[in-house]
Amino acid sequence: MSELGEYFTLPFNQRALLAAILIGFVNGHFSGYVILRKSALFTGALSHSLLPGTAIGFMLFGASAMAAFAGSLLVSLITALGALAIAASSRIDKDAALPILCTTSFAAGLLILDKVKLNIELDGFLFGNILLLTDADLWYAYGIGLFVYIMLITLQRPLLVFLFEENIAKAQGIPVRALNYILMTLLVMILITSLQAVGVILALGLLVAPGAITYLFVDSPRALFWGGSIVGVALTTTGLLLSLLFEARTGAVIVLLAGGTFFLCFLVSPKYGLLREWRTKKATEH
Amino acid sequence: MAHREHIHWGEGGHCADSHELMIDSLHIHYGRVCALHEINFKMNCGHSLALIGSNGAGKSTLLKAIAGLLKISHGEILWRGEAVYKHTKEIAYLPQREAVDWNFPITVRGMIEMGCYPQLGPLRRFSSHESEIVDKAIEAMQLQELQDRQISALSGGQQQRSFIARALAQEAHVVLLDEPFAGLDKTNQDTLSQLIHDLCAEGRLVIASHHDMNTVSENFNYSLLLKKNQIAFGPSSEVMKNDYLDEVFSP
Repeated sequence: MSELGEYFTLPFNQRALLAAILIGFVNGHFSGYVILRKSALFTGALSHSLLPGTAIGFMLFGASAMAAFAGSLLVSLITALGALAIAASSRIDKDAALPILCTTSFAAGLLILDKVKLNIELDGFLFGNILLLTDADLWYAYGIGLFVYIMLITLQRPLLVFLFEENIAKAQGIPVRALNYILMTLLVMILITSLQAVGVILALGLLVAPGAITYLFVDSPRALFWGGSIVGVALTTTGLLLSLLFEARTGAVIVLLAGGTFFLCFLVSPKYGLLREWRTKKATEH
Repeated sequence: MAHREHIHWGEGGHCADSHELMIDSLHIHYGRVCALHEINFKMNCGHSLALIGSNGAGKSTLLKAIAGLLKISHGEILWRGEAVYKHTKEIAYLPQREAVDWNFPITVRGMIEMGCYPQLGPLRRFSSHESEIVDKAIEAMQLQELQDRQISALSGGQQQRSFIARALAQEAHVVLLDEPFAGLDKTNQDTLSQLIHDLCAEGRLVIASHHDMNTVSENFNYSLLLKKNQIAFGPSSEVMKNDYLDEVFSP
């Protein structure tokens, strides 16, 4: 343990820990919404648009965290809102429209990267590097995290009705389309924040796995959201510590831990686990 | 603040004909496909209306249009003399039970409480007034013993009752039900039938799509016969006649 204590005397490890806690908390909380909205695939497709976003941001504003953020926000919002707009105005649904827009923009991003020789490593895009974060990156992340949190808490009631049944929500006068766009914008903001620290794969993993794990144990939306936060923090901090101890890639360790925890809970959850299902099935057969 | 003076929870015989729903020359199109053509009728609170027609006749479309979910191609839907979308809090739309994800992680009470959200807004705390309304809704639908149960653990009849309790918690004047009797056994159908009578007696307007011709007159005092256009509208005893029904269900 003293070895671990020594790790956290180093500023970049301290920043990594603070980032891990924040990303685990915010992404974990939001993952409850992703699960209830059944939009994990949508989220996955959307994450692809961050690469061209970063490339365009660097091209327009120079290589900085702010440029990456601005470019990613722009491209992913155009992509996500474009998909929603296509779905709202034609017979093509958003799950078909989004992959078309995302793969198109991803391909465009790759070509831009080839041509203008920007300093973006695909490896870094996929898995990030939490140990290379600067103080400014951390402030961005905390600022955006706080904003997302305030929005989610303020809108929790209309969001819940919307997630339960869209038509009921609409009939109650809840602005369903606006809420859809707001959720999408928050999602993009979270993806971008986590991208710089942990890469797109982990950002995506943490936007689904904590909620899915918690969903196997709880029966109320609030427990799902807050439980997701706790599970998210537990996964990111444990993953960070393990990666430091074993000198392995942090992002990959956290994703692996999240996946492993999900499969374990899927088997043994006392409420909705596979073993319980089997036992109940056997008991009814006898 | 909405006018609710004519709603009398749990009481009968007070139905004042104070609020009127008017459908005037209503046309609804999905793209180029006509779903409803020239619908005209008026209904007051304290009554129930059955929407009768075969599949695709426009029953669900009409319910959704009254709920403000669809774009009106022509005509208007007025509630208390104004467009329905101005009074969304007074109108509760309950879709077919199959349309809802009953695995949503929420208790019966939690779902009923959601009915209060529009009146509460995003931030106002749940007060004793809202708790009282939810208690009354639970009691009216005889869900006291089920209120802490997950909605996934309810039977079809219990789901329908908790749905209606949600509309009561919303303090809705107009309750729109899409095929509420579908999939219910005889006992639950009888309970629901009584509930519809009670809702009307309290001064609410109940409009439901219905497919069992034998029970229309006992459950609903008015009927609207649809085949994309309006075949007949009036008291159930007058319009549920063979010549009309033949026209509605003819290929």
